[in-house]
Amino acid sequence: MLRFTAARIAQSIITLIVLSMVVFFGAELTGDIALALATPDTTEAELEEIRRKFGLDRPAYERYGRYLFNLVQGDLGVSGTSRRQVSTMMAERIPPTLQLAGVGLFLAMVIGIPLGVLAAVKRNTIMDQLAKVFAIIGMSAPQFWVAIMLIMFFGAQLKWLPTYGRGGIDHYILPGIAISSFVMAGFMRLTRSSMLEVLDSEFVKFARIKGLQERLVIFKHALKNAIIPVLTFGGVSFAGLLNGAIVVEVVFAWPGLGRLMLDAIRERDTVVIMATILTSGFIYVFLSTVVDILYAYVDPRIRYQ
Amino acid sequence: MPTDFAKRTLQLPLLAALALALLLTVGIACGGAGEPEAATSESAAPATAVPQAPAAAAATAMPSATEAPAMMESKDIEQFTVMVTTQGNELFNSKYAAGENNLWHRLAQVWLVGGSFSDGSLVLDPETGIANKWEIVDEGLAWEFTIRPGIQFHNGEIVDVDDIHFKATWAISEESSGVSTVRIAREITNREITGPDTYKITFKEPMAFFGAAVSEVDNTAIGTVISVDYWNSLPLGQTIENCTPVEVCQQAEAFEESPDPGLPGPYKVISHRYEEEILYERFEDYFLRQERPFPFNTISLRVVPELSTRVAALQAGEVDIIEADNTVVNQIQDAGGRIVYAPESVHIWINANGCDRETDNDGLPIMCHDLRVRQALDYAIDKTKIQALYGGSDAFEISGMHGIGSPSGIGYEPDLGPLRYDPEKAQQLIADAGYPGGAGFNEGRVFPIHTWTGAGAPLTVELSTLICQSWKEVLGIECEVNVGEEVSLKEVQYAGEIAGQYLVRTNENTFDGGRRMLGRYAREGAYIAFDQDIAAKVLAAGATIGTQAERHQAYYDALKTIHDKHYDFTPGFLNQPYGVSDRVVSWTPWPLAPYMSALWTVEVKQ
Repeated sequence: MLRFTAARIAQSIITLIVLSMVVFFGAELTGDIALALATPDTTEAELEEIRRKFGLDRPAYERYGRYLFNLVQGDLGVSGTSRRQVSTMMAERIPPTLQLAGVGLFLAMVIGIPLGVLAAVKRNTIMDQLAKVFAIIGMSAPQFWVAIMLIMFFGAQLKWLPTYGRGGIDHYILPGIAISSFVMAGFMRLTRSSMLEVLDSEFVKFARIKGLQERLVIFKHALKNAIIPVLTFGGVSFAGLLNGAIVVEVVFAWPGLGRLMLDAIRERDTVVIMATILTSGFIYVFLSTVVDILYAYVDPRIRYQ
Repeated sequence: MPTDFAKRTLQLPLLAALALALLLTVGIACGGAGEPEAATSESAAPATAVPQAPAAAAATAMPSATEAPAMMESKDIEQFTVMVTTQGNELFNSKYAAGENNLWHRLAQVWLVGGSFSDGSLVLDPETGIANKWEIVDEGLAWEFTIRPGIQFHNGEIVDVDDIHFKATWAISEESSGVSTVRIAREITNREITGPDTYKITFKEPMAFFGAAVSEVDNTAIGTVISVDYWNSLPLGQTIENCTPVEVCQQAEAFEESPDPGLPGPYKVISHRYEEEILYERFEDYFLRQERPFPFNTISLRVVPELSTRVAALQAGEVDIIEADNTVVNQIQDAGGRIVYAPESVHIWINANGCDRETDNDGLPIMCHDLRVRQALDYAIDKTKIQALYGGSDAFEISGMHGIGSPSGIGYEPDLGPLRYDPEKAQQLIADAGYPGGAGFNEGRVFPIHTWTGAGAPLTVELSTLICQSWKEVLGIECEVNVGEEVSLKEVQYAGEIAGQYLVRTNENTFDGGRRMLGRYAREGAYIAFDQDIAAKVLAAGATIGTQAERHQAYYDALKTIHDKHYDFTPGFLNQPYGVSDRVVSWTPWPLAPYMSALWTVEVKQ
């Protein structure tokens, strides 16, 4: 188990190093970063000065090496546009994203899982059909559209909920629903199919023959077994929610990591772009690694493969 | 299966959901997940931990010469909320501040030279800035400012020549982030305190536009000040990269943590969450409190990038003024709001660099090298169609000179405006240039128009398509629109790779186009085209000292030469639309301001 864990962590580190290279040299390929800081009448001499100031006159590999060296010491550099420490900016932006993703996952689970159970238990009824329509809409409707519709209806028309920004609990409801719509539909569909499979199994039939109450059959025996792949999906979905919050954060003016990334891309703030992408990558790799290790712990066959 | 099966099966998960919801509620409420609503200064102040004025500064503070004006609580409203799409980097330290949409600065700062807008004119005003007098001395090489007595920083300290000197030596330096600031700094030969309340800056060459550059009618923060005593009292923080001298720059980070005690503007910064909200509280000892009676105890400046969200917030009554565009005018009006236009905010700029060259990088002839071609291209554009595209004459005016001259700026006269649509004249000019009906134009190659899209560049693709169609229909030129990415397009243009090809973009208007004229036409390696005739006029305008009328005439001469040469042109400028809520009775924003200006003119329903 220890060997498996070490190997998996080593793989993760290599993945992150490769990711950092892709991000750094990808940014290089997009053109001269100094131009993002120039005005229309900036002369070539002034552009040279900007490059010198920001160290852009050094070879790319040298700058990458320096970046990596600083990174392992926890120094993410200074933003080219805001002139602030990127680590400070990240510390400001990660908590709002975590909060939003947490609320999104929570809503997705508490709505998606019961709906999936209901659809499976009431298979081929109107309830099942409605749940399936809900899932299709959730999976196919773009988050941007969902977010705008929610704002227009519940914010602008009904004036029940705030239309933007952070604040009290009411500020979490609309962005939470918007960010969770896709994952919620995923939970519903996965729970339904998983439940159908389990409900058709011999041990469930046996439980019913034994005369157990239907409630106990559903929740104690069937759901307990059907929930395992759903929870696995939840772990991966959380990483997806963290990394996929850009649209929702922009629409709701939510000051999270996704919005920081988008602003940095627009301003060609390479240092911030790299930091945000690496952070997103780190979160994803970290969660995947944890899930893999837990799997190996639960199911020994995996670590021997 | 029992008939009440559904009820029973859902009972448990619903209970679980409720329990989880309760847990989450408690978690968010207790764990600080939600930021407190910044509705009042009382609620926000504890979170910001803005330090009190340092003891040293307090000890040196002199009594204010300005009588504290009477409070206006009976008429004032508690909070006013405004929303912008995006703004600069939100740094109050002007050495590193960037962004022309700098409302965040405007609310907390005072400029060395003030401005005012009355009777339709924007002027530099000795009554509204830190300097109550300025003059060009030493045969035009120096500017001398006399500092108004009694202006207070928010910590009670008085603004004096030491603060001006600190600003001039440290922030107006070659290490500043702003290209304009660096350019000015390079021309400075001496900065000196010449008396107890006078300060002089000397340049290598006459620089007539310096007064405007350090004024509040300029779109930069070059003319702002911060308290040197407060700055020196700050603890040393982490070193900011590439900042020299390090001893001074180390304080920059600490300053941004709590800039407020060291600023002198109408509002104090009481909380700042980057790219989210800056909350301001009115500074009652602001020296223009009578003349600029901001009727709000607090102002919440929100950054909300999505237009639909801003409009929804306006409809929901959550905000008072939003940045809008012409696509949402009806939506705002239907919701009971209305549109207020800030005049002359942004111009359309049709420019090509390299028209002073005969051939491009491939050795092929550059079409716009011929003045007749440049004029034909402009005459062929029907400006009224562009006006219709942008929503009519309220939104778009056929006037101005691509950001170097504007009706409210220096030197502009109506004859400098866009060429009137004249298809016959355009066809004659293109034929005279050797391309009748477009035959042989650009060696038979497609003539591209480049553009990009973005928040600050509304409808540029539609506009470029319209221009392209005009050139096709009127001149017979085979034309296509190339929509690219802003920085990449700038890169290829700077590199001369699209020399002679036109780029359609927007850009902020400016009160004094002197700096832009220099950079675009009057230097070797100029951005648009280096032209000796223009350079002579621009340098003459820059050296003109004398009355406002004399300066106006000198600027007009330079603008006229640029207009005649026609290297770049404009169909007109956009008036920036703002959506205002029904509680705003009136508001008169300034012209030439790419930010929500003159908020003290807002009248609000009680």
